[in-house]
Amino acid sequence: MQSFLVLLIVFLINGCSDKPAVRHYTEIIVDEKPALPPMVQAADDPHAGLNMSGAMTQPMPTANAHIKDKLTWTTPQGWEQSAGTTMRLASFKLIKDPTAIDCSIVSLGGMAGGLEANLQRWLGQIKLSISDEQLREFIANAKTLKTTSGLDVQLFDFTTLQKANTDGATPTILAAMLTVDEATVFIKMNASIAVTKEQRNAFESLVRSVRAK
Amino acid sequence: MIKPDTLLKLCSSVRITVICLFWLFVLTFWGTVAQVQQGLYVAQERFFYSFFFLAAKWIPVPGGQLILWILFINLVAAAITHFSKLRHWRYIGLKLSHIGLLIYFVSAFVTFHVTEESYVHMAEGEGTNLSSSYEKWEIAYWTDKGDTRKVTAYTLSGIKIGETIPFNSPDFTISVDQFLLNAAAFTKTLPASGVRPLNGSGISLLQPKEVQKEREKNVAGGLFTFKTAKKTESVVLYGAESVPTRLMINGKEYFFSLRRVKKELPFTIRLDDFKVKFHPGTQTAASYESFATLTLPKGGERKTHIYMNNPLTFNAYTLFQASYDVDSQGREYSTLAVVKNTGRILPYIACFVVFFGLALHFLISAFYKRLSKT
Repeated sequence: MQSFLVLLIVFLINGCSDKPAVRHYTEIIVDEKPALPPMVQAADDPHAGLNMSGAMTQPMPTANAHIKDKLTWTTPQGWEQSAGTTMRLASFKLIKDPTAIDCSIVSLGGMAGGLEANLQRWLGQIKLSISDEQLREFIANAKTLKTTSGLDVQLFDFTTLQKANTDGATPTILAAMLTVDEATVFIKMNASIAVTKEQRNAFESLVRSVRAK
Repeated sequence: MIKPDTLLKLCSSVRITVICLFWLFVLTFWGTVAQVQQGLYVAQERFFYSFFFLAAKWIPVPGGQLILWILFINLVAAAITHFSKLRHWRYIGLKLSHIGLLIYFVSAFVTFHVTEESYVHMAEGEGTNLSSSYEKWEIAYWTDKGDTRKVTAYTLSGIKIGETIPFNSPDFTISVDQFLLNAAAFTKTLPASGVRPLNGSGISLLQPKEVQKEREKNVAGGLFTFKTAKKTESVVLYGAESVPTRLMINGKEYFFSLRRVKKELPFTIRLDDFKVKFHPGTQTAASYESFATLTLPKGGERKTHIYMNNPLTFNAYTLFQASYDVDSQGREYSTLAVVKNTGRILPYIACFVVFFGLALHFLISAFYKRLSKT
């Protein structure tokens, strides 16, 4: 009887203790996700190929549907807005030269795949490669501005990563990131360095004009 | 001073049994109805796992665990009191069925203390050998980039500010500056120090949010100080990040993540296909089902189909179809609830012993009466 009681006490003590300890385990990742439909995987999707799955049981917010009714903006002078796509809330082009810029407003739920990952991918789009340290410096030195409605924006000017004597026809990116509710909104302009210099103020005016209802 | 015999007699009262069984009925009904408003896990913890809970915010009411303990004591006391009076062999069936009932209580105790609940969340084509805890968080790191990683992790339950996480790594030490069980993350606002901490997603600030009773809704976040031989850096980790934070330490690439505690499964499960059917003209799911493949560690594959009331059972593990969601790119995800219950065989044993005892008692009674008549 005594030994039974001792065993029971040991069992209870062991069963109730939950002291954390360093654990080691092997994680196997199977990723054979089917390719996305062509419309979604088009080049205009700034998040194509990213793993957007969260670790939570709640559905990942499909931010476009939610944010589309919530955001407004003013199209800069000389620009023309075209209808959005599945991924884009809006697209913009120059009236005088429709192929000179490709600007879009995109919103995604949560952390939107990670800022570093997005920036790395955009760097790849303009064939630039920088170290992790440089990337963090780039993020830390990002210009911040406020929209007219008081939203905080981080502005990423990729021309600062390109050499001063780079040919004006070289592609570059101007990107802005802001958070509305729990969605991350990206405003991104792809253009040549020369056109970017010319359209920088228009881009910033678009960014400043973004309002959340 | 109450004598032991009197106490035993009091404890073995049939009135206690009846009251407890009636209250269990009330709790079962109340808890089932409350699940609709409060959610499954909150209702379970409030009504069934508690000793007491508050009704109408101030009236203490006995919970399921207390009632089960009282019933257990009542049954043991009854067994001690009455069994001594039933020494004749013809009562062996009655005794056996009571022992079976006691095994039920033991199995309830074992199940309560050893059962582990977690979940697996996968998109079609994705697979894993790990399940995630609903409520506990771990800080994990690895250096491998491939499909198989050797992960080192530490559960952050009860972690204190300033505490050093005992990873014992020669390359770094990590101490906790802030840990929030439920946090909101901001990429735009700098902390009061004005220094932007490192983070793979650009998060610069965490703010506490009210901790949700529905534990799976909380998203933890923490600010940590990483010390290496060369420098000291502040790093923010947030539970909803889909990418780990990458740090180069001593020329080696490390990946750090704050995530729900992972538990190894004895197999790798891959979601091959997920199907959902809606009620006509609505967005309300009528049924949803997962088609998955299990890869066993010794080799070999097993196809499985998991849907409502048709869970997958593998050794001590049972996987139930729990929920689903769709991401912004239209990919379907399935969530499977994972229950590991090493004592799952005990209720079957209890059931068998009760059945065998009652059958024996019935047969002996019939046989004994016939013998007595002759």
